[in-house]
Amino acid sequence: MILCLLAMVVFGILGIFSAKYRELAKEAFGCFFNTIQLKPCDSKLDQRIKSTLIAKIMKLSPGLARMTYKNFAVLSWIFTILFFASMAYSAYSVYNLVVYGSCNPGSYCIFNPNANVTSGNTCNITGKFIEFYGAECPHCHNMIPIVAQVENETGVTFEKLEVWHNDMNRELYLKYANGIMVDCSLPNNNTIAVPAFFSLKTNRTMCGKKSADDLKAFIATNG
Amino acid sequence: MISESELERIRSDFPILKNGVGGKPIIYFDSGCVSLRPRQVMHAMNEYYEEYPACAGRSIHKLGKKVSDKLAEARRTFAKFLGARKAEEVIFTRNTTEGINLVAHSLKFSKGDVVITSDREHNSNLLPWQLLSKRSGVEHKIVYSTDNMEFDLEKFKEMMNDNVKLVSLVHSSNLDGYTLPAAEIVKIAHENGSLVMLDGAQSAPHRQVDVRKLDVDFFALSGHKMLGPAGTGVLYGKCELLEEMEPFMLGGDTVQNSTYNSYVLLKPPEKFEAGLQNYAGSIGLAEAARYIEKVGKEKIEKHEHELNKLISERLLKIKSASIIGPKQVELRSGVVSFNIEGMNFHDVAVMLDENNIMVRSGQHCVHSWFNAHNIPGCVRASLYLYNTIDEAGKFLDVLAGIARLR
Repeated sequence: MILCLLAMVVFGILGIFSAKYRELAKEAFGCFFNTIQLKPCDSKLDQRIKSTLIAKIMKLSPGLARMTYKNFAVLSWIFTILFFASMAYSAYSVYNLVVYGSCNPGSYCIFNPNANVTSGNTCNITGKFIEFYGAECPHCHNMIPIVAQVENETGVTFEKLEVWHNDMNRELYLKYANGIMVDCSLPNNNTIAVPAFFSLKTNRTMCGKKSADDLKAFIATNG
Repeated sequence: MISESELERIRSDFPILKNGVGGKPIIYFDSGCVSLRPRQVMHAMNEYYEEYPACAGRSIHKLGKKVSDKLAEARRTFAKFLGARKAEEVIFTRNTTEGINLVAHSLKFSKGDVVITSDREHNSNLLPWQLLSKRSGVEHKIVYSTDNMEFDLEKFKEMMNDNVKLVSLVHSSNLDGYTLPAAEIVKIAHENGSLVMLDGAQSAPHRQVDVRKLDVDFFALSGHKMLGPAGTGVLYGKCELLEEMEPFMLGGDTVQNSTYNSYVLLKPPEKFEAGLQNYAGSIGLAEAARYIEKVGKEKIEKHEHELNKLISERLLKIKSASIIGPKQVELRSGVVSFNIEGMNFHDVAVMLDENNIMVRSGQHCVHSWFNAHNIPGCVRASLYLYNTIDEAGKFLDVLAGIARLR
């Protein structure tokens, strides 16, 4: 029964694109419907799937085929549960994408077409980022939509810290000032240069008005 | 046994054996269902469509004449193939089923007449008698086999009496390949004044059959099991019997003349061949008969027997395997029906198919026998002249691997 249920869903989805799978989906439905009525699956679809699968595994490893054959019902249940769990998770992700603009807010989202940054992949990003900005800084204002776009596309969020008026934030900035001055090629004279995009993982900084691609590359390199 | 060089030549005549499926070679062990066809048969059929695609026995133009000649030649070929006295004793049908139904509907039966069959008849030689029994009050009786699944001649003798109008038996069983002692059965039946019909679907393609030597009254066979086209078959009937019988289907080319309320039938075989016939099929079927005769029926029988011996011996070494049918391999011609204990027969067939080995699984249209023995079905490997020892070896290797899955 479990194979027919699985086949019904899989072939049902594939049937959207191909008539061949529509017929198989119909067969699987008939088989599933019969089974829940405690009747035998007259199309033998479940048997065909099972035997074909076992025969293919047999060519690779007779031992594995034997194990699969003997535990086929258990394995079918495991794969079915995994299948439906992943279906549910995917549906949840699509919902998030529609509502929040990212299927997995704060992390990488497979449904975001632009999620791949210029080098590397945001899937591997584990570091935290800070954007130091000044309230009256025009470049910082210009960067607001670009930062928002990058955040949306990569799932990475910058912690935004105002440093011209907020003493605590300024102290934090000054803690990393030496490195920031070197990375941004600035004279080391206690200047509070903003906007400054800082990686807490690598202690590297990128300063000034930058493009979205520059920012994504910075994230990929320092995340 | 067919020699290796001859076998190579034979195999080259079958395009599917050369081309395989998806570029991979196949092992075809399902000839009991449908045999493969050599290119000579296809060529003969194409020739009809390309060179003389007209109708026989009606039109007097050149093409019509050629079809009539070719059809007459095909009938003569088949009469020779079966050892019939006259070509007129050969009726072209669609298959064995139609041949048997023709006799069931055309032979004069009365209430109280008895028809005897065996206990492992194909549905084709069981259902027509059940229907006749329901419609005309004819009694249908069954001779049950011995414990070794052989025909029980003693029981048969006991069952014979004046009421038995017809004994209709499967000559070689498609279930297990068993060939019954036809000559003895015919002798006993005739001594009791009964007629005998043999379902020769599985015997004529694989062994020497001589209807005159057997003295059988009717013999039905199918073309698709003997290298011939699908939808073709032959019913042999003794001339005097065919003349007495009324056709069960009438129409074009069955009558000499007709008025608004009467008709004059043609002689056999025409009176039984209503409507436009499958000329290409009949011509192709005759070509198939010529092909078999050229190779030699005895050689084919020996070849299949040797292969079956090899398969049966190794198959029985697989502890979980059991063969359906008589223990003696020489009684099972080219059919090996078997089960692997604890494994479904369809599973086994699908796994073999994944290795491009084609067998049949199920009840093989002998549902009655499987139901009576409470066996859900089996796998059947049926051999023919194009199968080789290497194929048998590969089949057994894969099967041994499947059996180890248990």
